[in-house]
Amino acid sequence: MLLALGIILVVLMVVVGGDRGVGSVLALIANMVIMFFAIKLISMGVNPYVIVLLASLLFLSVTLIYQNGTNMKSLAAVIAVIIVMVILTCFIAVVVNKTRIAGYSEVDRYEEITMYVSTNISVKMDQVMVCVVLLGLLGAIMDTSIAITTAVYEIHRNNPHFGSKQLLRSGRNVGKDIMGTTVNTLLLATVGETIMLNVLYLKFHYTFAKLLNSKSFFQEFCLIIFSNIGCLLIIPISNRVISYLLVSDLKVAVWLRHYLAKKEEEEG
Amino acid sequence: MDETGSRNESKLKNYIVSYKKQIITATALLILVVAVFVFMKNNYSLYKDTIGTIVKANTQYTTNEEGPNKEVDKQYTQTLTIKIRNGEYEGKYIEITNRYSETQMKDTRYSKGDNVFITIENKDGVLTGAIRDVKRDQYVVVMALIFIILLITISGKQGILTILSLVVNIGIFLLFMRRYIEGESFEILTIAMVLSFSVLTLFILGGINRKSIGAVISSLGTVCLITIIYQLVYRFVEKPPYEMLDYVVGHDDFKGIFTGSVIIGSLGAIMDVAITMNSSICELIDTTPKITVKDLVRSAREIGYDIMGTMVNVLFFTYISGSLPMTILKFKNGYGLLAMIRYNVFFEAARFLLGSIGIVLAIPVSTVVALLIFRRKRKQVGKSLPTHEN
Repeated sequence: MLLALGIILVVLMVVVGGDRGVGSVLALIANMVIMFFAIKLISMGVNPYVIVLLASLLFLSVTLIYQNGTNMKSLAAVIAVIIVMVILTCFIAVVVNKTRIAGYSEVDRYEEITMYVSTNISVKMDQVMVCVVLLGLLGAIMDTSIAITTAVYEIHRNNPHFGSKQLLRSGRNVGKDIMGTTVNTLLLATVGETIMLNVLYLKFHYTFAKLLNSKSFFQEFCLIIFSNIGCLLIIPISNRVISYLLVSDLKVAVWLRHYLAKKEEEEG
Repeated sequence: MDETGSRNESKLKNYIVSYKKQIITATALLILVVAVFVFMKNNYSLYKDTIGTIVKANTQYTTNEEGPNKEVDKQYTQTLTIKIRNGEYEGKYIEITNRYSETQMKDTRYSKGDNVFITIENKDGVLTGAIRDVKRDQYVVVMALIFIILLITISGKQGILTILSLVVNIGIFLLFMRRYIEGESFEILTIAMVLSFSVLTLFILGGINRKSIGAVISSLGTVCLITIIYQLVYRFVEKPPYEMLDYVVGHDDFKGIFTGSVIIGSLGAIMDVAITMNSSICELIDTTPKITVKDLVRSAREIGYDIMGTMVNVLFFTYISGSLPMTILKFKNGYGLLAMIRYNVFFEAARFLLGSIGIVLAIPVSTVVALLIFRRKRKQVGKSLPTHEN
């Protein structure tokens, strides 16, 4: 069944997307391979934080730079994503550790599978949980960030005389537009995934207080709320980064503009 | 030296003066967040269950346990002194022994300062007890608060509308789940949920106008298409391993629930694509009224490429990351990759694939719908254009 669905997806992506559809298919496959090796390495006992750091850099280069080319848009998006990930990692580590949400939740304990598998695997599950949250939000913030940088870049190309203030203002307007649907995309994805869990809460007559404190609820809540907070933070940050890179007199920005222009000349 | 110093100082002063309002608001919000956190952390009296704070934790390394591949999993024992915070025994101290392993899959490490729910037994004046769970409500409330504050500061009025749409969607979802418990069939509920989610979300966020109507029609059309694809695939290949579906109790309707969860899970992403496509095409027609259908389709495809690649990745990371802990656990227990895909991550993978098919299909569907909806508008603009020029 998965194979059939996979084939349908690949065919559709190629038909709808043409050449760039092929690129997206390759990027997706690359991401799956990276994810597989990341999981394999974590289960072999390598520190999960190190793996997630390296894997995130690979994910970023595949999803943003490979798919969109080496240009101002994708570079700004990469920088913004890294900034947000660094800020959020600290918060996520604190919250995940303080709320002790690693391991089986109170609902998982009654699943059959817990009887068959040994848990003496000497992988620190509290660290793995931090990585779960980080990887879960990566897709959403990459999407939001490239949307912002692309829009600001287009505005800059059509109005080269705009200063950083005007660019920032336009970027803010774009951000307002995309925020609403992104939040709902994440909400509905989570709702779809947790329908069974929600049915279970109702069947077992969870009280509101019990729900607020339960581990299974917090595991899902943590994922969706950090994804959303990440998506919100990335809007002003990617807006700033792209505006500075496009018009400011900072040495790095000037050098980068020069470098990209030269590269484009060589290719074109 | 002195001069630059004073210049920097006056620069800082200017900065503070020009951002005075923002600084005051930020400080006020920060105080609000901290106050709510402190209140929620100490709201022991609101609970009927006994809550205690761990005031002392003595941890000792005891033994090693062997894992499936001869791993050495360290085992620890903690002696925790807990101060009881509410109820009959408020203010008293009890001691609880807690064991945990390095992996912390089945057990939990506690440390000083944790608030925990405990069950207490009183045997002839000697208190014994066990830890049931950690108190987490303060984190739920504070993170939700931070989210709302950020949403409103960054998106303003649109942020308030977003919160409204979130509340409405969650409310509808709970209402329909209750109907399911009462015995309504899941298929009918899925249809009702898809209709109400898409109509309400898109109209609340976009207002009632052509763009939103176009987006609603495109979303519903795409959802119909992926349902047909899913049913066709379902008919011709082997059945999914429903017995592996998480959290299934009793006589639930597996097929209905799984189909419903897939459709609702992808609806958000489909709506996202639909609204982007519809508003971009509307924008194109507004700015260049004379644009030909051929040019319009080409531009629409161009926009489609841009969103497809990254949107598919949103679903990939959102769905796959959640299964990380179980996947690691099973790899360690000797499960092979194929068995894992077939049984462990089957449902996540199916959700992801169908959702992505939905995203990709939404691009041509929205283009066609937008062309049909804006056809009349384009004609009107086209007719009025000559008179305008005159």
